[in-house]
Order: sequence, then C-alpha cells, then structure tokens
Amino acid sequence: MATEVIKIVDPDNGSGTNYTSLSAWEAGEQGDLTGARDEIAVAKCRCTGGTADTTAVDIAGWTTDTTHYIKIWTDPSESYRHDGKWNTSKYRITSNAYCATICNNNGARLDLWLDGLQIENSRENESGAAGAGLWSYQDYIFNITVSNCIIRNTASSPCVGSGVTVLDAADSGTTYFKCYNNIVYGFSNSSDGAGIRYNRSANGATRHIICYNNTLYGNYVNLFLNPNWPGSEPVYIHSKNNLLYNHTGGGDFVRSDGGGTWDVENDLSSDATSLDTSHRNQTVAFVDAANRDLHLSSSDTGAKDYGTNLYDDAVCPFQTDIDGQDRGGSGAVWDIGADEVITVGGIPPWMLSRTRAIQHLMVR
Amino acid sequence: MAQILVKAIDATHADPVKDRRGCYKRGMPVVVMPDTHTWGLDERPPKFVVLKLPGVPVEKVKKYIEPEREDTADADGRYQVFRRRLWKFRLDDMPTAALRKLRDNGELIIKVGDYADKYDYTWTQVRSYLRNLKTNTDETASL
Repeated sequence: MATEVIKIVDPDNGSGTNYTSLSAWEAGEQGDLTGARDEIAVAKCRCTGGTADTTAVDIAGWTTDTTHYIKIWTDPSESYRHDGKWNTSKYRITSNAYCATICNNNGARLDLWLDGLQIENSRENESGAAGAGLWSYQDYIFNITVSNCIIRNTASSPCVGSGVTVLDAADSGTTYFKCYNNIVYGFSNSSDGAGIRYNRSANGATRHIICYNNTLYGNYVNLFLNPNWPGSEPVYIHSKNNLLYNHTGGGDFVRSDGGGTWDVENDLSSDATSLDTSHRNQTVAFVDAANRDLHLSSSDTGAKDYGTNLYDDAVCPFQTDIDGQDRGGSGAVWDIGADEVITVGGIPPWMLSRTRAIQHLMVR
Repeated sequence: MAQILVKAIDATHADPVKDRRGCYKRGMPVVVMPDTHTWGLDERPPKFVVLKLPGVPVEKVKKYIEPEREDTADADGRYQVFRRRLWKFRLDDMPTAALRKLRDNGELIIKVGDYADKYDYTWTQVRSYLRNLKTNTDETASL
C-alpha cells in the first residue's frame, strides 16, 4: 500500500517547512511514484505569514497511477485554507503565467487532486497565451480532481484560458475529471474563456466528466462541456447542483451537442441555458457578489434548498461544502452551488468564529 | 534583490521525450526569490543549491526560470514546452572550490554591480557557466 509522503509548502517558511513554493516542491519531488517509492506525494500548503506563492507550477516528469497520485491541498484542520471567499491571509498561488498558474504538462498519465487552494492568473491577453488557472492538455489518460478551490482571473483583459481547462486527447483507457465545490470567476475572454471548460479532442478512451456543486460566476461561459467529438466510445457526463451565474457573453452553459450519456440534475442558470429547464432564468441572492463573496445569502430563494443530495452519489459522493460545512447526510436537503447555507439562530456559520462554527457542526 | 534556487540532482524519466520536457536536470534554475527569502528544509543540498545575487531585482533574473518552448506554435497558436528550462548552470564545469562551497554551504554569493560586501565570485565569472540550451552558448548579459 502506497505511503503518503507529506511535505510542507509555506512561502513564509514557518516551522517545519520543506519547500517555500509549490514550484520548488514539484522540482524536488518529481519522479516515479509507482515504483520503489510506492508513494502518494502530498504537498500540504500553508501560509503562516500571509505571503502568496507567486511562482507558477508545471506538473511534469511524473509517473502516477490510481493509488500513487499527487495531492496538493490545504488541510482544513489547519488555519491556512480560504473561508469560501478569496482571502489574502490564506494560502494562495498567484501568477501571470503564459499557460496556467498550475499546468499539467506531464505528457503521460497523471493522477492529481487539488483541494482547498486559491489559484489566480493575471496575465493580460496575448496571442498564444492561455493564462488559465489550471490547464491540462493530455494525450494520455488522467484522473484529475479539483475540489473546494477558488479560482479567479484578475487581468483587466484576460487571456483565452479558463479557470479549469481540460483538453482531453486520451486515445485509450479511461479518464476521470471530477470538479466539485469550486468557485470560479473572472475568466471573461470572449473567445474561449470559461469557468470550467472540458473539451474532448480524440477518440479511443472512455470518459467520465463529473461537475457537482460548483459556483461559476462572471465568466464568458460559465460551464462549457464538449465531450462529444466524433467517436463511439462511452462518454458519461454528470452535471449536478452547479450554480451558473452572470456569464459575460457566451452563456451560463454551453455544450457542443447532446451525444454521450448525460446525467443532469438541478443545474441553475441566470439565463435560459441550463439543461434543467426548471432552474433556468433564476435570480440568486449572494452575500456580496460585487466583491465576490459568493456565499449564498440566507434569504436566497433561487438556489437554497434546491440541490440534489449527493451524499450517496454513485460516482462522486461527498458531504461538505466549500467551507467544510456539513451539507447533511442521506435525506438532507442541499443547496445549489459551492456554498451551503446553514443558519444558527439566524446567523450563517461562515460569519461565526472558527470555534463557534465547530461548536455548531458538533451540535448539528 | 534575488536568489536563484537551482536543482542540484537530475530527475529522470525512461521516455527521452518526457525526460527532456518534464524533468529538471542538475543546474537548472527552479525559482527566484528576493534577498530576504529564507529557504525550507528541503531547499538545500543534496536536492538544491542557491545562488545569491545581492542587490539584483528579482525581475532581472526571472528569465532564467522560463522553459524552452517549441519554435512553432500548435494548432491553438500556443508554444508548447520543449525543455523544462531554457537555461542551465554548468555546475560540474565550475572550479573545484566553487563546487566544494556549494556542497558544504549550499550557496554561492555572486557580486553584481557595486555590491561591496563579502562574495565568492562575480557575475562575470558565473555567467560563463550559465548555458542557454537552445543556442548552446553561455550567457554574456550583465545584470
């Protein structure tokens, strides 16, 4: 059984820091996890003094498989994870990288899990540059999960990349792309910008695309799924509880065609593009959308209590929201989007102190 | 005010193309940080060494951590990575005293411009060991 090898990444070099940037971690740890190392390579990111990690990271030169994978995360039991809104005192990786702030350039199978990160790209529009948050162009099978992340673009004129860009060119085997509980905004380039963009560009592989409970706001297209390149191999698309809001021109939801097997429930759009017709043209109340606090307002009536419970989901079960708060187990009523509104005496938990919020969860 | 973290050991991949595109080799610069930066427990020998360039702005040396890109763009107009880094310090060609210092201390202090404090070598000396892997020529630029 593979051993988790945990290295601490902290730009402030606090006690026990192994690497002061994710880029240095990648350079120091890259290699074959499946062989003698028999390892899960874990970068546990911290931010003990508020300093951002400002070097983009390419993930390349790795050998991974299902049980020997890369995990880059902030541990929610520590105090370095964002609180559901971009937070400059928590761990964040920011860059104006040509391709992406985090780029899969492995050129081989990649098994990667990003969890609880803040990722920013600020590259101004330039021919050829992507300027994405996460970019993955893969000729090989992959297993990529992005969960509980805030991904934003802060360029005044963004490049064509998306918050999460997956270009799937695998021609054999099975690929998995899972994206849940993420907030993505600002990828507004009028050519290809999107919150999450999945594009299939080869035949031969079986594909699973799973997008659950993401809040995608103010991107040119909020959710773009193009899984249906000509080919007969099975493609399974699961899209549930996504909150798609205020696109900047391309539509809240876009897909190339309806081929493949679509499993869609309770995707909400502010325009008329959601595949779930009962959740089109909705109005949602956020805490402070203008300042990108995209927590749901406790007074919301568009997304609150309209989600599908995914606690027992067959392909990607989970129970918490982007804040780590309990959405409730089997039978509970979930909200649409990355945030779950849970009120305690009229006060939502994200407004409580950390101790108070934990007390609340214990009571719940 | 720059320091350059340099990979001191090779990473390898059995596939030569993946090896070239993805793997850091000994001497390749990885990240650039300001003078005041302190390094983590693993950012030292045997994995890494540090070249300190007191007084040099980080922006001036960031070009050394760029990858080498393909000469021609792909169908999307994008220049894909050809090699992990365009530049590489020829560490093994450096004088024995420099290598010993890197091994023992994990760093060299490089004098640039009118820097007046203690140093090991000058930029003019060190840049002649900094190879552009595309042109196969050593750096001649001042900082």
